[in-house]
Amino acid sequence: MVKEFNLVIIGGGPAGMAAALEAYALGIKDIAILERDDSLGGILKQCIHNGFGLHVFKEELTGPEYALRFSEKIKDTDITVLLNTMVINAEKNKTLYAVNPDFGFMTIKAKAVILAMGCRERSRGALRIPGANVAGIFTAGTAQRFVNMEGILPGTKAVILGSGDIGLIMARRMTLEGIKVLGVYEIMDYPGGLTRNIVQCLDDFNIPLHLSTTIVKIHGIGRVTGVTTAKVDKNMIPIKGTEEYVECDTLLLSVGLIPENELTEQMGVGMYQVTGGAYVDQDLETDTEGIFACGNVLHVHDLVDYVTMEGQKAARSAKAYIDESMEQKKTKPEIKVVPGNGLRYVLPQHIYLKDNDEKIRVFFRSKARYKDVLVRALINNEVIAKKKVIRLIPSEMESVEIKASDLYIKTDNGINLKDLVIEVEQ
Amino acid sequence: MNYDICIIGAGVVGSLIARQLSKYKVKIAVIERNVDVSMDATGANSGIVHSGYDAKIGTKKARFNVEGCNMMPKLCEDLSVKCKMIGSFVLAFDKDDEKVLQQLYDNGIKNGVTGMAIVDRDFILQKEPYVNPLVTKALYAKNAGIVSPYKLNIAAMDNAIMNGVMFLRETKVTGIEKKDGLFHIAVDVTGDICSMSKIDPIKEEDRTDITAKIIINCAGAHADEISHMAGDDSFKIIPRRGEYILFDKTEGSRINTVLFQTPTEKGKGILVTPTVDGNLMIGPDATLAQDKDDKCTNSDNLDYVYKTATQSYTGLNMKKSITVFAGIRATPSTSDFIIEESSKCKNFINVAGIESPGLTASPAIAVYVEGIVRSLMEMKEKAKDEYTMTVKHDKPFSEMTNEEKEKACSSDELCRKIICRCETVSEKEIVAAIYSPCGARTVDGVKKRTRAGMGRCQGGFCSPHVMRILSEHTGIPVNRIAKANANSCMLGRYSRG
Amino acid sequence: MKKDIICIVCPKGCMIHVDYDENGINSMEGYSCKRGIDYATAEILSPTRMITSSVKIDNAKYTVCPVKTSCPVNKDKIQDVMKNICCVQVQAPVKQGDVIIKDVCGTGADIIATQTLEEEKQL
Repeated sequence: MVKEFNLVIIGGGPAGMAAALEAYALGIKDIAILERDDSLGGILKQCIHNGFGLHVFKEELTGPEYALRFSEKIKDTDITVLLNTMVINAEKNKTLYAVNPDFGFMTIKAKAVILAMGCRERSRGALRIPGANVAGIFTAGTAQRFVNMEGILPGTKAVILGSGDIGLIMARRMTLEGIKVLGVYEIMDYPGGLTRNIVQCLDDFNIPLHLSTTIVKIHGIGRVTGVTTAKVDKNMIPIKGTEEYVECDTLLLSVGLIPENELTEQMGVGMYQVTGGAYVDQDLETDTEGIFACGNVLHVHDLVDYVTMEGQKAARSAKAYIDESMEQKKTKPEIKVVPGNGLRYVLPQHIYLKDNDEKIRVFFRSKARYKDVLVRALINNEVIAKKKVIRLIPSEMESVEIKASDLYIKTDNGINLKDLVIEVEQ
Repeated sequence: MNYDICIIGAGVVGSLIARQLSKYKVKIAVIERNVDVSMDATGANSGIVHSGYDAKIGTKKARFNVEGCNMMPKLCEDLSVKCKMIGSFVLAFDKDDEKVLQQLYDNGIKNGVTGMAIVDRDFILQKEPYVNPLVTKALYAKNAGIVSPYKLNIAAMDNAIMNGVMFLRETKVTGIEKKDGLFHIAVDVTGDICSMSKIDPIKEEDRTDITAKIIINCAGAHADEISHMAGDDSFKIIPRRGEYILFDKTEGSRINTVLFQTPTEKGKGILVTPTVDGNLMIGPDATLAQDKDDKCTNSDNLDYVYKTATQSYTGLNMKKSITVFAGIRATPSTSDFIIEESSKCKNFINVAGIESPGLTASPAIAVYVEGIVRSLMEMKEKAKDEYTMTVKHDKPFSEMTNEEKEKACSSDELCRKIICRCETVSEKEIVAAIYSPCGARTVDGVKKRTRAGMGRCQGGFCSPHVMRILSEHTGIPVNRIAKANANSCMLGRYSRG
Repeated sequence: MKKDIICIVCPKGCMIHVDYDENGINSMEGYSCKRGIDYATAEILSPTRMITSSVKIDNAKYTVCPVKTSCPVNKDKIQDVMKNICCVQVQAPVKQGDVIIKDVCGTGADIIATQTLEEEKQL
């Protein structure tokens, strides 16, 4: 079966739903969302804690409530929602192959594609934690699904490796369900999650957070019976003699998220190593014409609100592309955006120069922790934007706004093309 | 229950022997302490089909390696198991290594290995661009390859069960007594997964008062203990652990051949190989294991595996590792395979100490053991239509062309539900794995048969779905579904009763 | 008595040192703004938390339905509220916003559904 759409959005989580609704509001006809689960909402459905929506809705919602704000609206549109639909292959010419219980094998052709597949969790194997190959080891998100959707607890005594937000949230969630959470172990010398979660998920329940500590071995026969922890030195190498045995039957891993870009790579879209997502311009367009990316598949976000906004932006760009009102980029001069001193990555990674009053927001993450610093945007050694940041930490995304016209002028009207550097002022 | 033949241990050797004997009119049981086949040495094996230049001339290892290597492609075809004869290199980096290559070559000729050649650097690098460019020469063996050890094991047992063999899983032999020429085998039940399952539950009478005329001891690392029960202490099994690192399929596409290092006095080196399913794998080291069942990986050993592998292969990207695992090899105190009727106990056949190249040798061992059994007992072959030596499998969804996928989806609703995204496994394949003759009862069982959970997310997304499907079909409650044996429940209690 | 409180109102995360006794707060330092004072005061005098959890549901595609308190409740009521949440059982369909428990444990807060779950036909 062949289906054709103007816009196909892969993924019906927060990014995909926001993109679909925005595209619909802008008047795009024939929009489809392809979602692998049996309902829209993505990972939000299992994030039953609150704290979502402060930026977008100016109120605190739980994950399912946040998702419903979008999925209920989508019901009132003629957006085609294909659930239980797995896209199994994709081509550069925006032909997708998908499988779905109602239609079987489908060939789907799109004028424009928005990638919104989200991310997956880093597993034990990727970390190569040595020890027994036993049951009882979960990524925090998988455990969250079991507890919050299936209503089954992972075990009785748990240790959490990594202080990412999902791990912290699960520490509280499991404690409330009567599971003894013995501690959270973080290899870095600072926590990975938000302060608010450290306070409300750990401190409230007297769950210890062990910094500069990791798990060096998993023990057990059949099921986890304990872990050996060890302090690490500043190169994150375990220090001999600091090992401690902790008895537990469950180990949760909250050690990072990886954008799910297998389809993106199949489509031949260029990737940016640091984020693990596509290489995009200020319109969130990848290096392949008409393919846009947003949300956690592009780079891992810390707030869903920003995912929503990014989804909306991708939809606006897709609209311009479909209407053919998007400027012909191939003929335009382009500059690279690169992370300078103190920064790990920037997004977008390249900008097409135009002489208009468009404001371009460049997102970035730092490599280390800073207090009261200036982040600046430099081109040809001239500062074109500055921002004071009270607290700059790797786990919180920041941004700086740049005027398109400034870039245009500082590159001598797009002739003297130098990289735009975003950096922490030394 | 009275059996003619009891095979103890359902690794690849035990299962292939069961299959080989299943064409006769005899009553056979395979007794396995684990919940599934392939859960010890076979399950954590390099999966290499060795050409046979390695083993000392005149040994059983040499004979069965060369014979088994020649049999492997046809056997795999019969059992619908992937086997790729992609060839192997033994890489040399200096004059000393080169000398060893020549010795291996000469030994190979004596063992009857064909298709070997000593090749130069250009030949190697042209075939394998990521080999360390300091390589000087290599022994190339055309007649070598890769096979999935657990797929071969599963298919062999499927075939045996199709021909009427009784598979007693979760059943551990605790004692053997011989009375009036008949073996009485005492067993313990080690778990309840298979009796809980509503598909082919093990009937209690099948493992009560077990007797056998012939016992074939294929108990791997525990073979010496089983032999001891029969009164034969002529050998010991020394458990050695080998550790591996498995990489994403993105990494497997850059390697075409099995890469060995030149064996030295210190050891056999670390091999770098693609797997039949397209991953890249490195390993194994060899350390003495204190405990025969200690399959823990260790950071020092994994570091050693990685560092040693980088000496011969430059294409390793540790960011792309997806899992690590360890296996226990059954090294015999006699240094050669032990495949014979015990001199201490009549009708008790030891098939023990089957360390590397045991997987390669296994098809030939099965035929040889068939001969031993025939010499001990009169057996009549079944009529041609009463047994089969082939297993047919549907093509995995992930390997179908678009046209084939479309056709499969239009005829079968379960094909349209993709459960594992990383490996594109449909619900149909998972259900088929559960209902196959030697059916999957656990999450690992499904994983080995279908690859669901074998990919880069390691079951993060699909394990809840796999558990639901297992539960729906076997009737085992979701929170009792195990990863491997019954002591490995995936989850705890229902939070709301 | 002395207590250190990490302020969570904004990302800055000020460490606020509070000196207090049974009569109330005596002194406070380390805050950077009024919101910090308000937060620390509430944390000392009557700390409250939103509770999110799930209740058992029948005839839905999942066995549990997520819920929350309609407003923050006193922190020392958390265990009591959880006990109540664990005992109730609802029938699908449930709509987001439906009140599951009225005035839970006399806190003045209701337990409300945060998800909409349709009735699934039983096989």
